Amino acid sequence: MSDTRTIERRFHIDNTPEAVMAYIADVRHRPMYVPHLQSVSEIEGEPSAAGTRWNWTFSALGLDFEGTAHCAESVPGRRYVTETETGIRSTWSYDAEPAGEGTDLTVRLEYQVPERAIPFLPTENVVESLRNTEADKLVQNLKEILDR
Amino acid sequence: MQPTRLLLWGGVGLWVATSVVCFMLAGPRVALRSRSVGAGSVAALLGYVALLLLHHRAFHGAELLLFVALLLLSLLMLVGWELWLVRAGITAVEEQIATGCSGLFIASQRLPRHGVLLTVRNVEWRIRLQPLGPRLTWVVLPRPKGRGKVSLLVNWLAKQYPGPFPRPRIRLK
Repeated sequence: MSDTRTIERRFHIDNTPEAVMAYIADVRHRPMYVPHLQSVSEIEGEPSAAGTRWNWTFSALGLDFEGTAHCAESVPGRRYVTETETGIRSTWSYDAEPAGEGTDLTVRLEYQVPERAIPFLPTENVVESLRNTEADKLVQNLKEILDR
Repeated sequence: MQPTRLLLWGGVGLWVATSVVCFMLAGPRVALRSRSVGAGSVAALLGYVALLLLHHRAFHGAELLLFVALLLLSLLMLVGWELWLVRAGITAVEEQIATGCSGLFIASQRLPRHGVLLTVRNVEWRIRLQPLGPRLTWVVLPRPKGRGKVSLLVNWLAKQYPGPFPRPRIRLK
């Protein structure tokens, strides 16, 4: 049994959908804008293509968590989805829509917390606050990098 | 030496010595950062003040001077320049900076005497590099306010060159 939670952010980037999604789809860029993602390594496949797998290290609370993930879907200029394969299962999806001369980007994170892990986590408010802070920073970072 | 003064020297000295020893023993691609050394020293000095208050003691003459000098030095390390001692050669550090600049769309240019000039929205920032050996480089990074591209570059470089203290690794299955 697990508890599914979702965080979503929709925001505008002053750049073309093609440029925005090309940047996001390249897994090597991810530690530059995902705040606590320490590194991605051992990339198997073309960095932007569906089916590509990699190892990740996420740092939090003084610990390094390591796992693997893969790209589940990659449509240039429109949609990009990754799924983690180990630990807390999560799906990150990025959807781009043209908006004027820029892009409206929707970032959606769905993650499942195993019920047996819930008693060991900080209270729900703390976890939600951490996740929201992380999501807001990710939005700011992407805008900083990609806005023209 | 008075026991309290020994504590003052000991607390700060132990922290600095532990940082340096971990740095020497750690593998390649780690960095000793002035900010973390400064933060640890400030914590040790505040602990010392708490100890004095607990024992209803006051500073005596030279002890106060020593304390103020150490506190100023620690605060300077904490909020002043971003100084890093990196366990990597200067060429490797330059390449890493170039990779970061490319990924963040920062215009960069190598300077003739060990450094990199960054240009973001017509504002220039300098990274100074000084080789101290084949695998040891002194790096002085800018410390911009806010969350601009230069901040993102410094944060990303900190991920490439983490601190020297061992961190527990949890492999998720």
